[in-house]
Amino acid sequence: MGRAVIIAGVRTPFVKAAAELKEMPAPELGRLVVQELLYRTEVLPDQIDELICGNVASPVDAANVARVISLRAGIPNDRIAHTVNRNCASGMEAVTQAAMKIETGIAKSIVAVGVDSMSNVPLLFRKRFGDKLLQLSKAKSIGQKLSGILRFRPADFAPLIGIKLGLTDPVSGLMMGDTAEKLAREYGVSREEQDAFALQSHQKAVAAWQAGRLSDETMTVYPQPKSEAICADIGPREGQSLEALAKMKPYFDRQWGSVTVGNSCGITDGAVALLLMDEDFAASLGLQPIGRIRASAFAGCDPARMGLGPVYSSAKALHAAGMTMSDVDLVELNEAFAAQVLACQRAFDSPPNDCSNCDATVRLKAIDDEKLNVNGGAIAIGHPVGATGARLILTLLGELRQRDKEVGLATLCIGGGQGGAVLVERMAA
Amino acid sequence: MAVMWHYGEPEDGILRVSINCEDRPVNALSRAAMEELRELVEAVKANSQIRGVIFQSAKPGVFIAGADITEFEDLTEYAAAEEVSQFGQSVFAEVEQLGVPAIALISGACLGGGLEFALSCTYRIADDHEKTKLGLPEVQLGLLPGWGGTVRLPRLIGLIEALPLILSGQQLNGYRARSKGLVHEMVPREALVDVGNRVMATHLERGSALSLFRKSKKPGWQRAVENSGLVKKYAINKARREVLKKTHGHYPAPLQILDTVQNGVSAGESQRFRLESNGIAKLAGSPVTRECIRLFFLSENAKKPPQELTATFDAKELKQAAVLGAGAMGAGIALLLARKGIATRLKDIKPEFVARGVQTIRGLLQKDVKRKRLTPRQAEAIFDRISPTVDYRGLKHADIVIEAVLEEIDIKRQVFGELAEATSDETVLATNTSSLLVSDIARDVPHPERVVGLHFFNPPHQMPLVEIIHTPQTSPIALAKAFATVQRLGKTAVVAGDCAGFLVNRLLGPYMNEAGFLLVESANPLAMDKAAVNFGMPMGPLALSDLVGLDVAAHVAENLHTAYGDRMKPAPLWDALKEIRGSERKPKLLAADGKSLNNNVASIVSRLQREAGGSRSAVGEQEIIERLVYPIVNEGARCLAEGIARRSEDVDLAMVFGTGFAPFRGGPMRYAESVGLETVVKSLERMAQTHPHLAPSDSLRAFAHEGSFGSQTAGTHHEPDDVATKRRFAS
Repeated sequence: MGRAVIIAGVRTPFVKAAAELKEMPAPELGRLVVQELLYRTEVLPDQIDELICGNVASPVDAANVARVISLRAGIPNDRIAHTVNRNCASGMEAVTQAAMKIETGIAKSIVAVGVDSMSNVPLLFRKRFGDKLLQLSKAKSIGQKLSGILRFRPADFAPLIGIKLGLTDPVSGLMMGDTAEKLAREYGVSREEQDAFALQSHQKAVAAWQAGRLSDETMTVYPQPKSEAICADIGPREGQSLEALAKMKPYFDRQWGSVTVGNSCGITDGAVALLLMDEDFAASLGLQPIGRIRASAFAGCDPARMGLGPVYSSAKALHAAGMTMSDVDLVELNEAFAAQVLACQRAFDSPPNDCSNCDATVRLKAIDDEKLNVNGGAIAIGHPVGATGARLILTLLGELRQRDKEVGLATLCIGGGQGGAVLVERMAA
Repeated sequence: MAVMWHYGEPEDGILRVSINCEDRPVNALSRAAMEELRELVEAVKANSQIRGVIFQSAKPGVFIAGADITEFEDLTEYAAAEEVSQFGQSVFAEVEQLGVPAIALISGACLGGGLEFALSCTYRIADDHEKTKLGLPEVQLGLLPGWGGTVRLPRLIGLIEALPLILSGQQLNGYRARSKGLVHEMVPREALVDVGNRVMATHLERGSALSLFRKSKKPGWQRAVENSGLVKKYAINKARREVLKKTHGHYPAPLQILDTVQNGVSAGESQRFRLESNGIAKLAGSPVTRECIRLFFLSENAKKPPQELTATFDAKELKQAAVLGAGAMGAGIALLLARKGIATRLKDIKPEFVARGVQTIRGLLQKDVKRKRLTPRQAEAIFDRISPTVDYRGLKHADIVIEAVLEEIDIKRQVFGELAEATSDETVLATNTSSLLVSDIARDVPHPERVVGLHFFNPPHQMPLVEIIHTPQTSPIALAKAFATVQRLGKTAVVAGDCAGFLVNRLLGPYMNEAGFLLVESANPLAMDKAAVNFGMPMGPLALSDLVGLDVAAHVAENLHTAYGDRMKPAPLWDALKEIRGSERKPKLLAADGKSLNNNVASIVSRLQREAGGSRSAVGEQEIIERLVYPIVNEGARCLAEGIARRSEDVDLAMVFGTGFAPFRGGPMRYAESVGLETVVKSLERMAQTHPHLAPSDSLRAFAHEGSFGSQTAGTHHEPDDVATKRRFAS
């Protein structure tokens, strides 16, 4: 069995929802990154065995969005494609599945995609509206039809907002922001700390873009209606200030809360694609890998404290690799909420009791600031849910190369109470 | 062995006829095939067991592509043509009166005589195959449907609907054929046989199967109105005005069609068939028809690799391409490639430039969707094949890269240097230059043998011609790949040698330049455009200068002057026009109404006239034409002698398809031959007395001595095969 290596990756700019990319549904975003990836690597579509796509919002017109992307990108009909959903870690799930399939010899080359167009999450009709509509359609006589019509109430017409439902944990009933509020309270993360963290995220992202540290991984897209070129993430704000952040009202707990739109990640559109191959196969094509996965792990935790997922999963991954946090050169920890990242930092220092791999060793400790999200994170850049997991790995590998470092950790919290972590190792030319 | 109609014993009373010209690529109705059909009809009539006949083609993609045009090539005698028409009419009349139901199951091209056959069957069922096309394209060959088409189609769908189809030769797919009423039903390809059986069974059971089909959406009152004599008369008159406006009366076929139909309105049915035979017999002898048929064979021939191509490359093997430069030209070419299923990388140097190209492509696709030429899904699939970029990554697997960047030699050389790095050694590097020499661009390329010129005309999605330019170094395989690309795009290719202006611009240059002289010399400058249009050009030289832009025209003129010296020295007018180029953004020769000169131009012209002195007299149309067209012939003769063009037919094809040179005159070289080359030489000699640059070239004199350009007639020049027939009718 060969080793799986990562050949290259590319992503679209991340753009907040309902803005520049709103006319580009997930299949279109996915098609773009996959095609660009193949062109950049000079790999032919028929050299791809399989495509795995992480996606959360599940476009209603593309149930298996992976297959649609694969076909539209010109990958031959006889290749397979499936969609994976591990909520916020769907993109990471696609990458880890691809690596596993290659290492077990099932495939030699797989494109792992993460994509979400949160602009295109539909509004839904209420169930009772649908029921009444169905009844009406069965009505035969005029009287039945009339009474069918009269059964509708104004409230029946109010749509359900799909995206709000998607960001609510159905088990605990908490919205994602509510779980962040919970962590902020339990770990004593103040509003000021959160805002300061958010500001840093913007400053680091702006600096990274200015220095061109993110441009290699990003392709230009030309969205409808005007085809204007979008070359960079739209989120990072050069003029972001603490004062502006401080002015924002808490969004989830309006009275007593501290989590605002400003210190949370935005709702975003974007796509990422990574090409994974069997090491020997890559060599036969003359391709130079950029890295490989040393270990990966997903771990479960309390849904109401889903934000701590990185603590559980990182411990598990480090355990599997036989490494400690000090062996890690750079960390990409997804910034769902500033409160949640800061709570994780504290939990890395004193892990929760139910964390099975945490207490066994002294693997964990708070991540050094200079290693954490050095190019900013989702608060500035955005978080297209299904794409982020793959973006963290891509950005991490790029930064390891630019800093000439070896080992990186990409980790994120997952709505519903899980964490995902991938330890990567850079492979230099 | 049957020629075309194959059948065995009837099964359950149903005779299945398989249409298949076995030794040919398409099914075409030759004389022998028609005679065989008559025998088939007699056999059916004689066999009381046969209760119905079902016709279906054994060739995928073609039902019956039409009559065998090669048999028309020498059919110029009135009586002979009339006989061919009447014979065909009589055979189809027998099909119509078969006595038992006949069903045509139509999959693939069903054109001309093929549709006329189908129209004489009881039922027509078409399928949704992409190659299923129904129409009467005879008019495009300068003919009219002579086997009952002008009678049966109006009878079936009404004159108002039928007339535009016959006049334009438009071809309808299965969907549109059904909505227009040409066929009874349109069904999925796989269901064709089954539906045919059900239609037959229903007919045999109930005496008619019409109840199976969807009803026409047109209300009865509307049909009644359309059938009234007054409305028909109005429609015919309106169509005649439109035809005259479009063709300036140069083409007799559409006018003859209108006459035939008009005279038939008040006539009985048998009289209508007679009118049709008379009509086609009249047209058959017309020189315009001869030229239309010749041009058709020339353009069909140009779609096949010329003999000079020593290597072959299958157009189907083209998978990836790239286009450099996302301007109108580059974007247009990228879209052409993507439409034909080729994955295309579109590169420009800046995202803003790429964005403009992407927007151009979206605009063109949206227009096609709006006009229902593409479904939204088809448009999306085409758009998906175009991948925009600002760097050179992704070109390694390209079969061909077409460069359409700025017309600057240094920029082009740099681009080709970069391309040589970014592509594999097998990639053909093509330049879409119009004014530079391909060999100059290729100078520093490490593998100059893979460089060719592919000169598209603007706008590329509309212009049918592409000049393929080879340098002395171009390798046979590079040329073959370039040819395959043009073939795949469905364009007409003319292969020519590398020279300033290539064929089309080099020959158009003298024409435009003479216009510049004439404008100053003649007392009636605007008569020039009128004379050219009367001659059959799509527009006059002044209007053409305005269309291409005076700066572009001046640039081309300078280029040609540099390359060819005094004989292409620009007329003083062009130089003088530079004055207004500064003051007007897009200066034009003609005023906005097109009926007078632009004021600034007029004052320049009168100044030049004063400077020249002498008196000016009005120039007659004949003289204008000689002055404008003979220099083209003169230069064309040079191209032939230099080997830039290999055949005078190539010159004709290039000028007709590239500039719209009066098609019914067969192109400049053919026209000169019809006038007589000695006459042309004498005329040029006469004009050279005052304008030395018009002196006939030695090459032209030599050809005149021979009496021709050594051109071969279409029939001997190309194998009279049916690929041509198929392409002609299926395209």
